[in-house]
This record gives sequence, C-alpha cells and structure tokens, in this order.
Amino acid sequence: MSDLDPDLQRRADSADVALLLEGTFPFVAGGVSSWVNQIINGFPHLRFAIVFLGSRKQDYGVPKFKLPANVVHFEAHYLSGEEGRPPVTHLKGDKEMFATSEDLHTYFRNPKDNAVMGAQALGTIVGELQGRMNRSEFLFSEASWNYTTRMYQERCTDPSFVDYFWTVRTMHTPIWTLSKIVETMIPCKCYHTVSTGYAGFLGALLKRRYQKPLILSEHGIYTKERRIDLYAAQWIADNRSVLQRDATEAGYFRQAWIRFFEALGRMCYDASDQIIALYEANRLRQVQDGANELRTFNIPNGIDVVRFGELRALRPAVTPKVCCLIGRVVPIKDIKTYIRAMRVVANRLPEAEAWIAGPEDESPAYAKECHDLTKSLGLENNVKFLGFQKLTELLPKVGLGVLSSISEALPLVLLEGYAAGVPGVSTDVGSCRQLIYGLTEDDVAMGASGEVVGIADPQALAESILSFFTDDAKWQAASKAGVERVNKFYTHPLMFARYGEVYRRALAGERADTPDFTGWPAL
Amino acid sequence: MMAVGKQLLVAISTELAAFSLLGNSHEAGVLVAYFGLHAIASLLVCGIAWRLLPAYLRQPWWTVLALLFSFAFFIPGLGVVSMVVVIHIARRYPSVVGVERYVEIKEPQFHSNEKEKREQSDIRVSQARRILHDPTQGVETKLRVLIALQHMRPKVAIPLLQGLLADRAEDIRLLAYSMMDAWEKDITVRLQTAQTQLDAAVAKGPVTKESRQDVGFDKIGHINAHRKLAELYWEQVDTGLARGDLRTFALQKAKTHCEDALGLDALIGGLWLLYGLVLIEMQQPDGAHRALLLARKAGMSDVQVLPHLARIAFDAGRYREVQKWMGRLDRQENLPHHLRNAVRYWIGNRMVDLSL
Repeated sequence: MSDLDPDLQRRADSADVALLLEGTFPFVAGGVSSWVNQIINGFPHLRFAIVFLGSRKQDYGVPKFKLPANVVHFEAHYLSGEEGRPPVTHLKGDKEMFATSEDLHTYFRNPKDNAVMGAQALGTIVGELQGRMNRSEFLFSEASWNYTTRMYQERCTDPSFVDYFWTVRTMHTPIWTLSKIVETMIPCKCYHTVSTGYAGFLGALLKRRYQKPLILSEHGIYTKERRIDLYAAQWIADNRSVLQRDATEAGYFRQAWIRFFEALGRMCYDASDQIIALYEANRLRQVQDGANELRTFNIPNGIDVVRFGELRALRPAVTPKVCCLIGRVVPIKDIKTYIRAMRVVANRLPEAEAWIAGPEDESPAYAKECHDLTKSLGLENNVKFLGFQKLTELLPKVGLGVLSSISEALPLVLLEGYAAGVPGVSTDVGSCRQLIYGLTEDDVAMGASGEVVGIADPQALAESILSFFTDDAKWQAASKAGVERVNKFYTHPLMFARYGEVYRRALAGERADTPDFTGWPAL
Repeated sequence: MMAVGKQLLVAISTELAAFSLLGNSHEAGVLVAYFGLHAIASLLVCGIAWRLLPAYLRQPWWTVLALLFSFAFFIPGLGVVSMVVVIHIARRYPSVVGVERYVEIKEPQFHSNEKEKREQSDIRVSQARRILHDPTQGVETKLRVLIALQHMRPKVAIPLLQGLLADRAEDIRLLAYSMMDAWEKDITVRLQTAQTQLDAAVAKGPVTKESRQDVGFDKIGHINAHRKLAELYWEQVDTGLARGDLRTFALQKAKTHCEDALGLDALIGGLWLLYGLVLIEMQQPDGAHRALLLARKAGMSDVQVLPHLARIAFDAGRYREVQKWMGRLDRQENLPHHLRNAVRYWIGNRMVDLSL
C-alpha cells in the first residue's frame, strides 16, 4: 500500500541534511514523529533526505504523516527481512579480518582500556564491510566458523551452541544491511540521527565513510530502553540447568544483546559531533554511557503556543470533569494504570470521564487488554477510547491532561495542554517533574502546573485527578502556571533558534572539542 | 600402501642392524649406537602405525604419537606386535575400541522441595530487601537482585517491587514495573478466560430459581467459573497487586463470586474457606468466623481452618480463644513448619498462664 504512495518515491541527487529515523516518522504516530515533523517544517530552506529503518515491511502500514515539501529524498530499509541475503558459497575467509574483529570485541567489553585499539579495529572493519569482511564472509567462511566456535568455547556460559550460533548471526546481520545503505547513500552535507541503536550506528558508518558531521538528538535513551526490554523479554533463551544458574545473573544471550546495543550506542556517541538531549538527566545519562561531555548539551522541545493559545477562548466557563490521556495505546503509556485510577475516581465522582485519545493499531493486543480491563472494572460509561483526534478540537473539552507513562522524555502533549489552559497530572518520568514544577528559580516561582505521582500507582493518580476536579482554585492556579511556563520556556521560536544554530555549526563543521568552537546555542 | 611396505622394510632392517651390534660388544659406544638405531626404527614403526590408525583414534595427536613411540622403543619386538594387534582390531572391529564423542547425561534428580527452593531463588528475601533499599548499592547490583526476584513467589516479590517503583534510578523503576506488569497481565488473562467461561455458562441458561431445576442448566460450569473468578480476584489481593480502592473492588468481586458459587452448592469446603479469608480482609470477623466453621463442616482440615479462626480471635483480643484453637492444632501431625513455632508459643504461654 505504502509502496504506491508518491511521497515515498521522492528521490534526489543530494540533500542538506539526512535524517536517520528508526521505527518512527513517517510510519509511526507519536511524540518523536511529531518532533521530526516540526523540525522539517521549521527549516523550510533546508533540503532533507530521510532514511527510514524498520524491522519488517509488514510491521508498518501507510504513513501517518504527509512528507513536507522540503523532504527531497526518501528511502526505507528493513533490517529483519531477507533483503540482500547472498547465496551460500564456500569461502576460506580472511583470518586477519577476524583477528581485527576480535580486537573490536575486546574494545566493546572494555572500552576504557582499549580505546586506541578499538578505534583502529573499528576503522578497519567498517572499511571492509563490503570487501574482505562482507556478509558472505561472515555467514559462510571457514574463518568465521572458526572464530564463532572459538568464541563460544572461550566466552559463552550458555550450554547451547545452536542458540549461540543463531544469536550471533541474527545480531550481526543488520550491520551489512546498514553498510549497503552507506554505499548507496546520496551526498548530504550532514547527518542527523534521532536515536542511537541501528540509526545511530548508520550515522557513525556514514560519518566514517563520507567525513561529514553527525548530529545526534536523543529523546529517550535508546540503550536504556532496549536494556529494560531485553531484561523482561521472554523470547531470549536461557538453557542453563539448575546447577549452572546464578539467580542474580541474567542469561548469557540476554547480556550479549544488551552489550550489542551498548556497543552500537557507544559507536554513535564516538562519531557524533553534537549530542543533544531534551533535558539534563538524559544528558548526564549520555555522558555515563560514553558520550564526550564536551559535545553534549540540551535543547528542550517547543510547541506552537499561538495556535494552542487560541483554544483557551473556546473553553467552557465550568471546567469539564473530563481527564484525557493523549497518546498511543501502547504498553509504555501504561494506560491500564490510568483505567484502574478511573475506577477509584468514578467511585467518588461518578460523572467523571476518562478519555484516551490515540491510535490503537500499534499494539492491538495491548489495546484489547485495555478494553477488557475497562469492562472488567465496570467502567464502560466512564472510560472512552476516542482513537486519533485533532488536538485543537479536543483540548477545549478537556479538564485535565493525564500521562500515566512508565517512560517519557519531554512530552509535547503536556506542553500543548498547557498552552490551551489544561493542567496536567503525570507520572514521575523523564522531564515531567521539570515541566510541572519548574526547573530554574524563575520557572519554579511560577508554581505547579499540575501534579506528579509515582509510576504504576492508580490510587495516587486517582487522588490527584480528584483533587483538581474538586478544588477549582487549585485547577485555576495550575492552569495559569502552565500557560506562563510554556510561553516562556517551550516555544517553537526558542527551539528552532537553537536547532538553527546546530545545523549552522554542522554545515560549518564546528565541534565542541575543536579550537574554533565558540559555545553551544544559549538556553 | 606401497610406501608403508618400504617404510616397514627399512624399520625391520634398522632394528636388525641394531641387534647385530649388541652381539659384538657391550661397550658404551656400541650401546649408544644400538639405542640410536633402535630409536630410528621405533620412529619408523611409529610413523607406520600412525598412518594405519583410524582418524578418530589420532586425537590428541601429541599424546598418541608419544604412546606409539614408547611402545616401540621401550618394549622392543613385543611392543610392535601389540601395535599390530591393536591397529588390526581398530580397523576391523571399530566398535570394540569405538569412542563415543557425545554421551547423554541425565539431569540429576533432586528432591522436589529442594529443587523448588533452588528454582525459587538463590537469594533470601531479607537479603534482597536490604540490598534493594540500600542507597549506597549501585544500579547494577540492584538490577542483579531484581533479576533474582523473578524466581520468587509473587506474594514475596511484589511488595519489594512496589517499593522500587519510586527508585531514583529509572532502570530499576522500569524493570520493577515490567516484572509486576507480567504478573498482573497473567492474572488479567486468566480473569478474562474465567469470565468468558462464566458468560458461556450464563448463555446456556441464567441462574434463577426455576432454571436451577432445568435438566440443561450448567450448574458445574457456573460453579467452576465463579470459583475461578473468586480465586483470581483473591490472588490480586493476596499478592498485593491490588491496592487502595482497587483492593476493595477486588475483595468485593471475590466475595460476590464466592456467594454465587456457594448459592449453587453449599458443600464446597474450599470455597467457604476462601469466603472466610475474603471476609477477614473486609473486616467482617463474625461472617468470616461462620464461614470458616462451615468450611470445617464441609471437610476442610483443621490445619487449613484453625489458624484463621485463631487469627480472628487474636484480632478481637480474645487470647484464650486463640489458645483454644492453637491447642487443637498442637495435636495435628502434619502441621506445617511455619505454624509449629506459633503453636509452641501459644501452648507455652498457656502453661505459664495456668501456673499463675
């Protein structure tokens, strides 16, 4: 279906900025996608190329966003498919390349003590991914087999060689898909990745191949999110017997996957000239994960305060007893805690309503769980699933914005609600505390624009919602603080000015740890 | 094969030459020459044996070669004969000297309790609690302990996990959440299944005074579904997954389903016991007391019922009654270990009390 979309057929010979996007814009709705859309529209004079990386083609439907006119080039690649798999051939393999590969793995295990060796090994391997270390060499050569079996004997603590063999293959195969993208990439003046992971690694490969600046803007911390996913994942085998198992030790394959994503992240940090976080806690996390502190800084999100500000005039005189969670119906939003909280709210305020405004197609199984939970709690009259909604039509009817997420970065929906005069109650994740209680002294002085509660605590969430619905003075004060806060710190002009400077520096080849560096964009 | 023949000829000639030297003289020089020629002959024989030996017997090569040479060198004549016999057997009858590279080793069988204990966790609850609440412990250490909690019973692990939802480190919070969510999801799925079973039973015919008499009325289906639902709502309460108003909601649901099931069959002891536990949590001690007595009448054992009766009496401050129930428990042979100490305590106090 999406193959026929003329937007996705855009091709160009060159572009100013290549955006490297993994599992997000334009196929997935959500905060990061909205941000990408904002950035592209915010710089109409720049010509953007988009490289979309996905898992499998069938995992994505039609694009959720129309590509802006200044996207001159679009290409999509899928990492889990059979795309580009070479025919089986007998190869001796290059022992020297696998020795270099061993150096690289030694570096990944202990980056601090092996930095020089690691950089050399990485340079050599990356340069040979379509040559002496191509995909056929990895998949079919004797040298590869010998290296794999030796590593299994020396390192693997799981008894299953079969699982080891296939884990190594599955884990490494996308590297050659990315390497092929590098070879066919159109000339761009700089690369901009919106996460580490595969997109970030692609950025690192492009940087090494074409010597053009790389920008990294991280919303969440990719490595951290993968780590949690992997710890909880059920599909990773652990074949240790009772005697072999240490209850406090994650299985070998689980740890191997975690190390793999950490290595991808590190390579992206090493290659990036500007490393941008949305808020300070994430910047510190980037540094902890290996980013050069001199190249890191924060740029918070911004929104169109004029457009959303106009909605305040449309609000009814009496605050509607309606709370609304704006977001995709996916596990990370922990919609079930929101629904459970509504059971408590409805017990005391039966007329209260909880709306969920967001698409349900990304995780249909989770959406079903939410519907089932609503039914089992007897909340059919209080909880409404609205699907995707236009915020300009929705926000005037809402009394309170709610976020029950277990992980967020700097949620735009909270800011959009503020601009429309809607205070917010959120879980204590990402920068939500900063958005609600303020960061700097003058920010804090504006007062609370809502309330923060712990994650997965429906009782606390419900008490907070009830406090706003039953105390009009509290609601009015929070609404006023929200409007002030968003107008002062989180506007489009502020964000675009900072990113304008980021792009100017990238195109000029400036970097923080070089002598001609004159400081990051002021916050 | 031709080369082997030539090599054998040279080896025999060399060995014969060596022996002929010994016949002439026994001087030191002659002895050195003998051993030199004998060593060369042994090496040649060793090479022949190596070539004739099946490939699977050539590993590890260094040791095998050393053994072959030792045979030829240290046991002149007889060693060579032994080698010929061994090689012949190995080539002709490989199964006699066959080496199984892979053998199946059965997993050791543990006593079931021991095995369960090991699988539950290698770390004690108190130890886990101490580490998880120690601010000086690093995130990695806490993550390792969290992983260990996955093997604990939900009732033990969930209170610990709930305490970590507000941890300073986001990794800890998220992992604790995902573990709790997995348990919660499991109960929710089972609740949905039980509800579907109940809906199916109701669809066949709702419960009314008249319908109960119908031949087609699915009484067993109704009872099983209500019982399952009651147990699952109770599990939410008992593990600590449901808190605050949701706990009250789950208790109410459990109570209703118990009543519905008991309304259809009042002789199910397990359901009376569950009903009693639910009523204890709902602060309805009189009803709970009656339900537990009915559970006993319906066949539940003293060990299952009396501790809860003792608890109701204890909560009400009726300590003599506690002693009464505990005294009856003292006569039970199959008393679980954790109850033994409590019983001993109460019986001991009675003796003190009596002596006063």
